[in-house]
Amino acid sequence: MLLEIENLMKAFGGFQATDGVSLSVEKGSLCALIGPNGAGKTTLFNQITGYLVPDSGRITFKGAEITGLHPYEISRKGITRAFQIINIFSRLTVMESVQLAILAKRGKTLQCFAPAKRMVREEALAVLGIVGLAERAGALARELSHGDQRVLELALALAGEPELLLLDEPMAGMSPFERVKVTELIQKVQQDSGLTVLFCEHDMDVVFGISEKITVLHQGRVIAEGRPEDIKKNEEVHQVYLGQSWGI
Amino acid sequence: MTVDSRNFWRTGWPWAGLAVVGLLLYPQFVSRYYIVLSTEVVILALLATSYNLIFGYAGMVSFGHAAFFGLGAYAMALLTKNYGSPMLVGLLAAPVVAAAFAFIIGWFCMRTIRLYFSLLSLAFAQLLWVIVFQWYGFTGGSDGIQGVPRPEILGSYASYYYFALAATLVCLVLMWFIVNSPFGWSLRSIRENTQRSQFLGINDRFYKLIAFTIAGAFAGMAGGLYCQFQKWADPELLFWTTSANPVLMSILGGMFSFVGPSVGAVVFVALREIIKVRTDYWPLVLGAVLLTMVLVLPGGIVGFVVDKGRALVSSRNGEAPAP
Amino acid sequence: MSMITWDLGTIVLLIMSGLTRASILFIVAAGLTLVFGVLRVINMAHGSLYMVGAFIAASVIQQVGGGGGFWLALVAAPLAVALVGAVIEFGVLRRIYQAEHVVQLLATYALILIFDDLVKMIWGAEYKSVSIPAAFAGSISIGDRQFPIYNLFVIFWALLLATGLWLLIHRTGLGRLIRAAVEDSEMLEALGVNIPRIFSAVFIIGAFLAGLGGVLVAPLGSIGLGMDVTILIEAFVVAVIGGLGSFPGALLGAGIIGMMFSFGITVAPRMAMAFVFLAMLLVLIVRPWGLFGEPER
Repeated sequence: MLLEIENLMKAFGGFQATDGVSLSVEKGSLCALIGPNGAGKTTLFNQITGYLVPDSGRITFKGAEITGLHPYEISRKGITRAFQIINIFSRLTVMESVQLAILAKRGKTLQCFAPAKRMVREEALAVLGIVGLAERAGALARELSHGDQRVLELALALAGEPELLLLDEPMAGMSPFERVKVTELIQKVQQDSGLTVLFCEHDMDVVFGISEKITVLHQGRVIAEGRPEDIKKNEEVHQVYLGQSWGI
Repeated sequence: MTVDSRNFWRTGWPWAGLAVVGLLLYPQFVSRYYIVLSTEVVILALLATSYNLIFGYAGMVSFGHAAFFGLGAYAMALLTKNYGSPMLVGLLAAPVVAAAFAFIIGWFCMRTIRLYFSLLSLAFAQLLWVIVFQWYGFTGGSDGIQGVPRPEILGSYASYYYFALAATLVCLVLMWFIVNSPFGWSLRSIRENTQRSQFLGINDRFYKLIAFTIAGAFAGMAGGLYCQFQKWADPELLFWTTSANPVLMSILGGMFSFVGPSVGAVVFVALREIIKVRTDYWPLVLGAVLLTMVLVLPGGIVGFVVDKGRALVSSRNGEAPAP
Repeated sequence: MSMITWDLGTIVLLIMSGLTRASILFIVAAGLTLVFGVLRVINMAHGSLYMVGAFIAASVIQQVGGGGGFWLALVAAPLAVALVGAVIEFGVLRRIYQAEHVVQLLATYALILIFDDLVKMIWGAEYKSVSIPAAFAGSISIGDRQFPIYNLFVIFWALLLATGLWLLIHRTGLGRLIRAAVEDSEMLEALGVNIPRIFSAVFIIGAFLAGLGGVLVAPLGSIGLGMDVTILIEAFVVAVIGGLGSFPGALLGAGIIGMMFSFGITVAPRMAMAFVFLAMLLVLIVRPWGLFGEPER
């Protein structure tokens, strides 16, 4: 198991956002986390990546505990994240952003006297090539179109050379054509480099199309977990989603 | 023009080279008044660039930068005047002393953000000012330390100009490397999006502390040079209104470019001298200029020129200008 | 160390003089903190408005003379300063409400520079002094010490203002709007409330308070060109310690700083100012939003 979450609890005031969640992710797998709005998916991601500290419970990565560590420490251990809202560096160029992500992962960001422009260029261009942003390498991040910015978001997460990639609603706001593109990208990257991917999504076509395992969250609790076929038949999951667009 | 030479001129290095040559030759042609003025500009350019390291590059708005400038000046004054050390010792001590204070103050300031950071940096600076102002026995109180000795070879105006210029250029080159290094890029990412930079693996508080200390060190260096320049260390150097000057210069010249603060320093001093000849009311004009700049030109002069230049070049090439 | 004798009379006197200072500080800091609380702007030129109030008062008293002059100044100067405030709000502040703090600080700092010179132009660079109006001349006895009656007048005004401001905020329609604007100005705007007008009103009130402080302080000491910077720093410290945006905070902060000054100047005159900044430091490190404030959203 690459990632293990045991009995995680997190409350905000009186509201229990995470209520005893236990979850494990196998190395090299493509797992999805689904649930209606407010189920606590982003809160869970925030706790895994260190942005929030859980009230109780454990998170273990590669056998070592990472509960409550700072985001930068967790990132260095090999977990990166692409955000749901675009969270990029407006005044850095595409190339600079990706180079920086790689440099940060390799621990070179304390170097004061080397010219950053010339460092890790090939690796950066490789990442940009994979996501299809190579021609826009020189553009400022804020000059990109919305769709390209989301791709850059993904590129930043990939550039961190992660072992576990967390994707927070990667399809949000994308056209059907872009969705196909990104879905193929995720699958390709995962197969090529043996990356482990955990993503949360509302687009059920994508979720049932590519994931190997699905975990269903509702009101901060895991109500079902298993292969896509099993989840489709699950009574409770159907009930929870009644009134929501199932989209199958 | 062939493509190659056009690209060569665009990189900026030849312009920098020309500027340096100009700066070296220029005292030969002008009167003493301009040489003295230029010395001041050079030192202030160093101070402003050191400030922009944390302001423009890391996004930290400190209102206490003058403290490090003043501390450097007093280190130089105390060592050379009161303890008879050679000037070079003073010049090495100034940045070290300033950096030490910057590290301590920075450590406390890093725990706060935005507005409270600015206020805290201001509070620290004012505290230091009061101590320097009141500690008559050690710092000379409101009189400051006067009669700071300067080595004989640097006695003339021109020779001190060259010395200050050399020291400043060395510091600027060092800062240039820092700003274009992975560390410098990390600072920019912290400025753009602190949360994201954390998720890249950057410990933003630590990096900001380092940047703050380095900026303090260079400000201290500027202070040491300035002390030798005016042969006097006075408490006014640490007062918060002195802190405003590098902020002004960075914004005037453009905080998102490396040379912006230096340009701002030149414009600031030039304006001051031109206005002072015509009227006593220099602060009024400065205030009006600052107000106009703040309301109208957010990118500073360099930003304005760069944007216009980019538009000009793009239209010449037949493209639409970038947004 | 000081040479004074420490007895009850001395202590009471020190407390009273601390309260006097605190009163002026409260009046000025209240304006500063009000403007920040509602408009989220730190007006560096607040001290300049105070200074203008003092200078106008001095001129009025000089022209009209004696007791009548003071009462006229007490009314006219704050109103004049309020007018100046309105001009500033309309001309400068409106454009920078949405800007980052550094822009606001620089723009208002530019105003300090401009005002300093304007005052110098109009009134000249020498110090002015205004004598205590005849109505409040003389002092009362506390034990075997004397305490000026005018100072009591100042303290009275501070208390009056504190009460008045409380009533304004908690008992009037404007006060309700102000409190709502502090909570969520966007929502208010969506509800159709004229936010710009509220902002103007608040700024004008703040300017009025600064001017009032200037008038009241005029007979207490000399009126000169550096007084804007001095009061700005002190009012700043008071507002920060109390919590930016909080009136009770300003009151408490003013009390603390007033006392610190009063006792500090007697006990360790050179370091009195240092203690004040130390207090500001401690608050910013331990509890940046001040004693009564709330963490910035």
